[in-house]
Amino acid sequence: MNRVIIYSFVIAIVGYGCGGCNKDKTSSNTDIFKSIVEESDALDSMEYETSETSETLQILQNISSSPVEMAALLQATGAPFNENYITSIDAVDRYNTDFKRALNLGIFGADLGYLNMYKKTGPVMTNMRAIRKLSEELRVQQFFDFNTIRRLATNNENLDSLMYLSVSSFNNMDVHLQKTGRSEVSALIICGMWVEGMFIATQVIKNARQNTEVIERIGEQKTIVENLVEILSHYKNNPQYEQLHKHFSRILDSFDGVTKTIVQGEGKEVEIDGILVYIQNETSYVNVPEKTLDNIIKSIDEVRQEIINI
Amino acid sequence: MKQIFLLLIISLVLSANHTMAQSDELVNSCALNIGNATYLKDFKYKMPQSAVKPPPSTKNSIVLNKGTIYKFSTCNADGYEGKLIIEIFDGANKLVSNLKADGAIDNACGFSCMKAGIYQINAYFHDGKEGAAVCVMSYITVK
Repeated sequence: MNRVIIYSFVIAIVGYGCGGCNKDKTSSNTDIFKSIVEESDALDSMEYETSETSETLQILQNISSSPVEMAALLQATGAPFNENYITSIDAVDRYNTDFKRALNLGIFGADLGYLNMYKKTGPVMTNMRAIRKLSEELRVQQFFDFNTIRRLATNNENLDSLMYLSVSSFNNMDVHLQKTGRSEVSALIICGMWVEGMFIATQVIKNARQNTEVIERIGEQKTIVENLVEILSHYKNNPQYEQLHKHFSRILDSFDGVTKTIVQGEGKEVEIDGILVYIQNETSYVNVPEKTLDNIIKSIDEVRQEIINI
Repeated sequence: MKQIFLLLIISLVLSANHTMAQSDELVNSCALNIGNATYLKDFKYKMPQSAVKPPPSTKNSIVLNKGTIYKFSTCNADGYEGKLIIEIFDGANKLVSNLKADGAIDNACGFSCMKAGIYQINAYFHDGKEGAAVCVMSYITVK
């Protein structure tokens, strides 16, 4: 028995040591994917989970980047940056349970996307302090390379890398949470992230009702909130989740009146930036009546306040 | 005895963390070579050789937004014959793939989404060959 343990230990140490050697060289693709093969247990279980996972969960796993897309749209439509939309980190010490931490980590994650999109590297540092604290308390800090993020933000250098590092950190953390049976934490982070992304967009629209692209994007979020309500319904036996489920159901109700029509057209292929791009043959048009938009703005604001003042 | 167990656990944790960091390197190198595009998400694939026709595939549901041009870049690991094929589906309709009609395999394909909704990414390795690869989903900003 002792011998087996000692051999295992030696193999693990040698494996780790060799990996360390590779760090000094330029790692080839082969080296990298040998490690993926070695990782096969983890990957296989992930694939198994994927095949068994409901479409709802898969969709949620893929919306963590939606605040970035929303921020990109705001910027593209000329909406100016507004620091007042960002959540203050003053209350971060009050988040003393994993439930509160996860929701607000999502909030700060969406703010990070907004700040990065507008290249506001100064506030990124403040925001990262909150993310660091919450991620450490949630035991997921290993997914954030805080030193590199700080360097990129401080020196205002390579902002594309800063954006990549920020988004991929949240993606990797999400995959880890799903793989390690903490999907309820992942769901909370995504809920917080989605609400904050929507909060920023709806605040922009409050003063810019002519920004029809953003209004349509807000209306399109009905699909997402339907999925969030469904996923939260699985955890309703916990009172805190039940309360959150009620909040999100209220948001979903506020989307009453949103309609979607599809118009058939001609699909075509064009070359953009050296790649073949297919332009879809169907176009969706989402209509958000004025009263519905008011309701959405109000419900998002209220639920976001509930979360940050929790 | 307890110390040996402790050492074993520590070494295994270190080893696992290191392995994870290595596998992320391909994602990093792939994501940093997406050109004039902004990273959104990555998907890792690894499949053994298969004689089954059509080859085994993996499907993921994704939400795509109207008005966004999405780019799906593939990076295949050296040492494997398999080339990753990506297909984007809207329900049963295949919209775009990096496998062209003439059999050529591009390392990226694009989709200009005009209808917000839920789509599927279908991935498999060409001819069922063993492969390991990543697909990076990004969006293109047209200037």
